[in-house]
Amino acid sequence: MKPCGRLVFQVARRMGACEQKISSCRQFSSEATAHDSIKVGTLCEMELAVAKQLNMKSHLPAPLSKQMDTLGEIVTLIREPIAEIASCMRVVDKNLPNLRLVLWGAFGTGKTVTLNQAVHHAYSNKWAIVHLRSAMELTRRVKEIEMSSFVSGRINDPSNAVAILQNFKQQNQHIWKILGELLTEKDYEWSKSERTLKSKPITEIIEMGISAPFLASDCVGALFRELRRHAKDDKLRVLVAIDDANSLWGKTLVKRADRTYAPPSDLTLVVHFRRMISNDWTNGCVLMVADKKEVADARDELGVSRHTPLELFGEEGFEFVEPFVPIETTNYTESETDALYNYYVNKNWLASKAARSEEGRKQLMHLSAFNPYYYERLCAFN
Amino acid sequence: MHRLTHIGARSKSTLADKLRNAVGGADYGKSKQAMVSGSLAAKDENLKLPYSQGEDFRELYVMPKRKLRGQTQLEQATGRAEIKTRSRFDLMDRLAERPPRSEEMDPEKQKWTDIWPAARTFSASVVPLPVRMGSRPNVEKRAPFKKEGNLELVKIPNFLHLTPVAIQQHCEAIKKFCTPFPPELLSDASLTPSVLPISVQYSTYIHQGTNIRDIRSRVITMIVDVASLKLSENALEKLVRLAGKRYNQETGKLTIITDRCHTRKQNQDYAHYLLTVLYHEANKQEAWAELKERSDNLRVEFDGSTTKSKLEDLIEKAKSAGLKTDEKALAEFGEMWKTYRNTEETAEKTREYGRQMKKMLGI
Amino acid sequence: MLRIALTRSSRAMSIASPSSVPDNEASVRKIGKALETYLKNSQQHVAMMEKHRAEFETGRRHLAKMMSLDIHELDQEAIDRAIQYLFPSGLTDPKARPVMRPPDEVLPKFQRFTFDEEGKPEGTRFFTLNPKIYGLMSEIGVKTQSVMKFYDEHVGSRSVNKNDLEPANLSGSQWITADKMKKKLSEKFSNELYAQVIIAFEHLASLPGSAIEQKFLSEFREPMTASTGSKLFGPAIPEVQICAETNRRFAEVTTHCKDTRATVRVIDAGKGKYDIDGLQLHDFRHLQAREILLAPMIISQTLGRFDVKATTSCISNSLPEAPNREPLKRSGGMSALPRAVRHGTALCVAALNPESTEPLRLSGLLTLDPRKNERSKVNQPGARAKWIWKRR
Repeated sequence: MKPCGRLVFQVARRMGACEQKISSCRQFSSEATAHDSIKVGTLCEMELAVAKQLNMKSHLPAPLSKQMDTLGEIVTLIREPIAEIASCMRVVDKNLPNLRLVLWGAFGTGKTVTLNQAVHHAYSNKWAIVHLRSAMELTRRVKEIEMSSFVSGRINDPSNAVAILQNFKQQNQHIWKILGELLTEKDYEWSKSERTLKSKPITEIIEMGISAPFLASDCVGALFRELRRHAKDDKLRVLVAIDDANSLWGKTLVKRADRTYAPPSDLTLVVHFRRMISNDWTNGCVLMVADKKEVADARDELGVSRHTPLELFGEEGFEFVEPFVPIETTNYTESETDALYNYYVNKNWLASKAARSEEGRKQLMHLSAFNPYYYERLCAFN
Repeated sequence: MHRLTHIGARSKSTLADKLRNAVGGADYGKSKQAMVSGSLAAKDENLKLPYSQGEDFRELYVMPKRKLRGQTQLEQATGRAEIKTRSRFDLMDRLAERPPRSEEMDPEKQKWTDIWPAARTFSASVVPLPVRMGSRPNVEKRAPFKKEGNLELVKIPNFLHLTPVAIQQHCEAIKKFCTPFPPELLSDASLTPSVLPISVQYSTYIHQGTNIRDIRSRVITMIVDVASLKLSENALEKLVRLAGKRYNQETGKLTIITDRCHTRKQNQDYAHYLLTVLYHEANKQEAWAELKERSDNLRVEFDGSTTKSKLEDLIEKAKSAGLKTDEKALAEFGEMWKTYRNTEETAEKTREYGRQMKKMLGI
Repeated sequence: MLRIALTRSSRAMSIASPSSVPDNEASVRKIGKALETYLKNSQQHVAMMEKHRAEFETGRRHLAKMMSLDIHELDQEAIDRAIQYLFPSGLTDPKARPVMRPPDEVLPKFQRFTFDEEGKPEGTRFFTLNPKIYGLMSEIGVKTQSVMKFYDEHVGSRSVNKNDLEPANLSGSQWITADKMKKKLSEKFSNELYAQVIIAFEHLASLPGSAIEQKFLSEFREPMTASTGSKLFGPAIPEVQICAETNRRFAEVTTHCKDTRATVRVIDAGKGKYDIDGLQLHDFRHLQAREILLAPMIISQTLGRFDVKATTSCISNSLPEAPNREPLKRSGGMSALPRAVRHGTALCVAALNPESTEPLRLSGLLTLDPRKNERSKVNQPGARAKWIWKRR
């Protein structure tokens, strides 16, 4: 799908100013062209070294990361959503507020996979990446809490904050030098003893946070602030990729001292991420995933609930996130299924004879209801 | 003397005659009577006879006047004994029993409505139809049970009191009290809400037993067409808030289901009362209603929302950067946004939202 | 009566007093008790039937008058309708509902024997207790002899049609079942006797020349497919219709499974789309549910050809509840809905794609599953489960 359409923003300036490099991938289709726009419907491989750097093993959905170990390569299908995201990312400009995209779709249609593909795309175009594996980790999988010294009433989450900083460090190795050149705006007094002075490289904030967990949450906030500032100054472009973003306005399992559950706005990390999403900085792209995990009932096996953004974000979240561009992920088409089927056959992933027959191909396609997740699971067991 | 009158009184009864005849013929005790009653001539007559003392002839007892044991045994052995047929012990009861009434009915002359005027449990002797009821595993072996003594026929409801003839009679009887249904309402269904804005529904329940009560028959459903109440906009909104789930936006109907009283009439009165209260409360304007904010609205409006301000901001920035902006697209987007926020969200609506957004931002 | 007859005759023998015994008693027949009972029963039956017939006739006249119908138009259907009107029974078993039928149809038939005036049965086979089947066996024996004789006489001769010298052609048919034979002969017999008859039949059919007895043999044969049940249990395969707007063939059927009633419409020339109560196939999260829904297509090998549209409802919710109560949320269970839709789909696919009828039938997808939830009993936690049993 070529990027096209009536453009309000002049495209000519864009095309001249920066060359968008297509993510390096081994094309599987016969009409592969290296420097063309991303071809939809083809399989694309991510290099393992890159994947390791981008920490794909923990960010991809579990079945895919297991497949990565077994087959020794990450091959995903390029579909319409990622093409849309790529074209949206081309439009990002330092004068315009950050572009917000919300990936929504039914269960198992490829929201997280598309997110990771976008992260890879950003990597290959030398963007800064702020990638959060799941906002639910911040609200529901909080192991230990500390009350914030910076703002009273806020709750810090040291382990998650350290993880975020480590992840950021690992994922942004490709622009570490550039980050090293960016300087802090002001003095940061973390505590009575620790401080980071003005005009120091922001990588120090990251090191500070990693070394001292009880300061990590504040370090995260400071890092994000610096990133936004530098993005405004057109020093770098930032991609903020948050999986399960609607959990930032969802349910928490963090208990306050009076044994009530804290609202998400009381958690520092949540507040920091919300600030990254908000509209007031430029030269960036925020990619969010609206996932049903937040509102779904684990015990309800049969019920089918809505997966649309307003339902998942809630009114408060929706109004915060607006204006955004919703990008839908859908089930496979027959041609996409065929491409994937051929790949599995080539890799000997489909073990049984019945699966390799024509009848088997059709049955696999229909039994999975063309849903990517179910298709992958069916092929794994056949 | 007392004894004689007693005899004299008894002597007039037929039973006495019978006994007398059974014992010794018509002459028994007559001579004695004659002697006792004091008729000289009778006495004279009797004087000449050897038993003139007023006694009966004393027979010499040789043997009893019945068949002796030996003879009866002989007769039984040879098979010549007279077999006394005794009447049944319940003979009198059986004689007192009448044949079933259905046998006395003549189909040509009998009017069924006279026999079965009102609802009644099934009675086999009255219903002249040879109806059978009873499930058998092997129908060929044994027929369904006959109606006499059949509990199943008694258990099921019957409409013997509502045969077509009976219904016609009922209708004829009440016709003079009825007026015809307005034909205008039959032809045009849209007139009904204005002419008959309130509809009340209730149910009656029939049971298999003698009990006519059912607790569910007290429930009243009252459906009101709210447009016919002619409320102002504020009043309508207040009514909708007060009614909550009872108001259906699409049809504009207010449904009140009451079951809190014991009888149907009481529930109906309560429903009317509720409607009255709702109407008057809706028309009242309270002072605190002035404090209504945007977040209190029943529907989300585009004008005044943060989204609109953000979008305008975005367009401003795009303008200042020297790019083309489109005002019309914003208005169109506003319309779409209102439907998106205020109606049920579907995947299709979200796609429409996406298309509009992309059009506006030019992606 | 028997005893009297005996004693009287013995008396006549012992005490020779001719004058005391009247003439008609000397010629009293010595009839057995069985025959005596039969005669008594027969007379009673005849009397009873007469009485019932008269009763039924009067009842008909009463009914006609009651329902203001013309007596001449009152056939059995009209009577049934009138009885349904007068005695509306909600009983689900049609045999349990009230009926008014002529006694000849309803009352059990009386077995008539023919006797001559001396009281002897007309055939000696009466004493075998299974006259008709032994008669059949005799007939088979006689025919076997005649066939063998026919063959011996006419083998090699040209005067006879060649086909007549072949064994009888019995392909595509099978011997009628024991039950059918009992109905045909209107007599009950044991399974061993039935087996003997079949052996005899088989022998006769295998003889060369038995083609002459083809007609006799085929009276006791039924076609193969009849026994395998050309009648489906449950809804039959529907008719194919054509949609007016889109000009596509479709078939529609209503079935049920457990507590779920489903109305399924399968449309030809489609892409394999499912729309069940507004849900699509991928909304069925369990693989089992999807397998169940796709089974008819897989078996008939028509994946992706048909579109399926279904609406479902709860059977128990259709009973009227009071309006102030929320309807009870009952459902058949996780697989009930897919199974109901599968049954409907299979029937429709068999209608739209007739060559797949046989595979679908053999796989059992065309048969309705009549099982329903068993009611839970009092003093038990469920239908079969019991409380923990303690020895003391």
